[in-house]
Amino acid sequence: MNYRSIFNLLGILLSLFSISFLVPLSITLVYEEKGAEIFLYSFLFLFFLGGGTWLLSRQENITLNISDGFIVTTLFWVVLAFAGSIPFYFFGLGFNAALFESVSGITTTGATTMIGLDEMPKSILIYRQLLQWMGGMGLIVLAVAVMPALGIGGGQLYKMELPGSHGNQKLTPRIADSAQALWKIYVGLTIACAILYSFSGMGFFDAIAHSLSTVAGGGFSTHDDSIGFFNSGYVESICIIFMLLSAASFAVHYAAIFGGKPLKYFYDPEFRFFLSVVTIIIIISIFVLYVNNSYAVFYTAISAAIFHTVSIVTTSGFTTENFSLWPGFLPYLLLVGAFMGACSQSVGGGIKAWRVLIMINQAYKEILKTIHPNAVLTSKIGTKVIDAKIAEKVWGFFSIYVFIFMFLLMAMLGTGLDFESAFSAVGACLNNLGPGLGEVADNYSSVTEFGKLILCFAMILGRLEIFTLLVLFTPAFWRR
Amino acid sequence: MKILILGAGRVGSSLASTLSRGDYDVSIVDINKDKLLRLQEDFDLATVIGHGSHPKTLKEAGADQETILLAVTNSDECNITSCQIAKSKFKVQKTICRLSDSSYLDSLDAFGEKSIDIAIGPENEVTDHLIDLIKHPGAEQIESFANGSLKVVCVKAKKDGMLVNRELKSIKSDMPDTETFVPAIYRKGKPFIPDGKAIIKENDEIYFLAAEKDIDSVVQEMRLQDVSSSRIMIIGGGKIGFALAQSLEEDYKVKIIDPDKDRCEVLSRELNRTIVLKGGGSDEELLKSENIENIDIFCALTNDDETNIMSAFLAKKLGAKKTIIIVNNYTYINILPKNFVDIALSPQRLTVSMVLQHLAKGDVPQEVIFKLESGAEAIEGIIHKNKFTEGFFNKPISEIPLPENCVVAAVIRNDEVFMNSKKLLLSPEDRIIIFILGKTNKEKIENLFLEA
Repeated sequence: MNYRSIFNLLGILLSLFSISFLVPLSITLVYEEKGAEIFLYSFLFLFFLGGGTWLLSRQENITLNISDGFIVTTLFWVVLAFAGSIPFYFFGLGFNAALFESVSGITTTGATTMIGLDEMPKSILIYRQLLQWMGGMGLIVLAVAVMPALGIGGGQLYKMELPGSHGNQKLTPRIADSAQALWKIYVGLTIACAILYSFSGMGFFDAIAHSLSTVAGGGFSTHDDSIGFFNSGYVESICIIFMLLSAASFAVHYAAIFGGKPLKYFYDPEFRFFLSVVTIIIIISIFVLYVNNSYAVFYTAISAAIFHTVSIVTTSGFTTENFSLWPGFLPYLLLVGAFMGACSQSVGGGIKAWRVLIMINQAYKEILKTIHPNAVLTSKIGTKVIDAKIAEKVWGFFSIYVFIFMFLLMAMLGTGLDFESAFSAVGACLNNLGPGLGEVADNYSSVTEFGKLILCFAMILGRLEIFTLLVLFTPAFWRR
Repeated sequence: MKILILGAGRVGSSLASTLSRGDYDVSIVDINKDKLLRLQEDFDLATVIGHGSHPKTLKEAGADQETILLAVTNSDECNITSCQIAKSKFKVQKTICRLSDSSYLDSLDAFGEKSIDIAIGPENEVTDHLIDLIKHPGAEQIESFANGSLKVVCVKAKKDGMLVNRELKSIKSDMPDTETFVPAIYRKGKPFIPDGKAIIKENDEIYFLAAEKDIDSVVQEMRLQDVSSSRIMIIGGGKIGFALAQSLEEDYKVKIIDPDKDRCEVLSRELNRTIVLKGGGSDEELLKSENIENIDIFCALTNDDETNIMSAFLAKKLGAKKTIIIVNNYTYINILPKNFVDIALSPQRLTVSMVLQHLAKGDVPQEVIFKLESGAEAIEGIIHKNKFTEGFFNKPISEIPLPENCVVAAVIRNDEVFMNSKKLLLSPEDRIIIFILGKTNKEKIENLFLEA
């Protein structure tokens, strides 16, 4: 274990993160609000803490092996969670609530304990949006992009932080180039989204703020009513489009934008599968809403079904109304959709469409085998052969996912939450979705203090895709 | 710069590791998934699973962009085909092709115009090195420059050398007719650039430049030349062993040993004066009955590192005077005991350095020597007038502002060799040999060779 390198990297990452405080700081100045000193002192504290750590542990080469990578990644997310909670704490939230808000931000979950957003200072609002935006693509990926010197050690980190990255999926031969490409696409999407939002007349501030959380697949809003506040079909359409775009694999974006293959969106088997699932859920929702006469105007039912399905399945978590009051099994259906989540190598959460696709494939293979006992079968996605090892890993991931879910569900029930709320709270946090059902449909302020900590753990588990974090809890890891 | 490597064998892997640490975007192709997986874990590069000569694989690996193709698989045919396809179907800028068979090397134009830009034959190169080392038994390492008209030689000073404990400049008075220059001396593993007053000590490793005919007399200055060797035993009748025996059999008494009966028959048919023996290199009885104690140079040249090392140990124990072996695994070279293995050559290392020569930018038909432990290098190239070399010309060589740890060892003008001396002036378009010891700014040196 190379502690020097670990601390060195943590120092760099922390300073990098602290720079983001300058945005809310300048907002306080522009809008002449109170709270400038909160961001100024937080910035100075973190910047010098990070810089100092970096200076003290400076060395010629940063050398990281795989086990160091796990520690850096996990430690950084934990440190980031606490660092991010500082402004919330001084803003008046309790310690646990501040931490919850911060974790929910950086993991792009979008669950909140804050009520009365419309009245809050713009600085704290933009800060929440910014947290989501940075957490979406990940600061480690950014660090790898701007510091090619991290080299192969950086490659290990990058793999751990990028959701659903699997095996050899670098976009370019160089890890630094790949990370740069990812951030370029990410920033590009954000700018495009902000411009389109601003045409809606929602105001410059809201346009920027919402573009940050939309592209990050986050779900934080500057209003209690979320996207519903604007009551505009245009805003909802833009939101839907960019939620879908940010749920697509960034490898596909890369091929389409830099590789000159715009049709890749239609040919990529994972994205196609993802879109089909979304479409099927939309159709079912519309049908059920229609049968139950939930909406007076049929058109509203269609738009509500499309918006919420996309929002929930991509694990963004924007709402225009309280979908948990929808009839029958619909709220649960959407929640189950969130378990699948976005595509691999996207900013979204969940198990990832790619893994679900492999599991379906594998199951189908088993069925074929019973029909043709002598058949030699290979799992494929599109035309690409999926190695048996990868399929095994996916199943392993799935079983741990289920197990962790059960465990967290018991813990939440233990804090006194009712079953529906506990089930949806764990599901929404583990999948980095945001809004749940029952008590936690609008916000999480009714969850107990201890429950908030459990959910924080669930959110980080989900963001780092369980293995990275769980590895640290195995004795085998520390014994090597 | 994008580099596409075909073949993740020993050569391909070590090229990939060297290049990916440098300024290159490396993609490597192989059919073996596991080999690629390991490279993927250890280095910052892209890997593609597939057959190197299939157009589909080449395209996937990025041959449709500006690339340099390094075809270094074990199969000559695969290398040739992939170079042809890369050049005709894709816009690959440059192809470097590894060819083991010398008959292919001799008829490069048969593969289509300009499909192979540079062909390298590691086996040929190894054989040439072996011949050099056998002809000059005192030398530890010999590398050719200026198309062979100049050699850089490494020799270890022994106490019976004439120059030992004397000043370096007295070499001139010892041999007034010999042109030589000493750019570097390694003393206890630490390099320095000597001036005329430097005193040669025992066990110094001395690098010098000299023409082929003068090597022996300079070596003589540093150590008493071993009594000229005449009996040579070669283990392993593969391509290298065979080629070596063929070129030595006129002047030396050569015995070659190979375990394969069919191969032995081929060898005895092709070789005229060499004695071909069937057996193993580590067969003690066989070695004894073939008078191993009288063998001057014992060469273990099989494909198997362990066999080579063990048979060298055995030969030394049984009385062979000098052992030269081939070792592919570079880790082994550093741990070989010097008293059992006199010289270890690494064909893989040689291939890598040959490829690297051809990748350097500018007009540098480079030769790169790697000193085994310390990493001295020599670069040969044509110096051009450009913005980096202003103030280099028409000045004595000693006043040229070269980067640190570098020295111009020799200048070749109109096929005439001028060794470094105080009065020597540099002029544009001179071919120069620069000696680099230790760390230096490589880029600054490469800049000297850029055209204006």
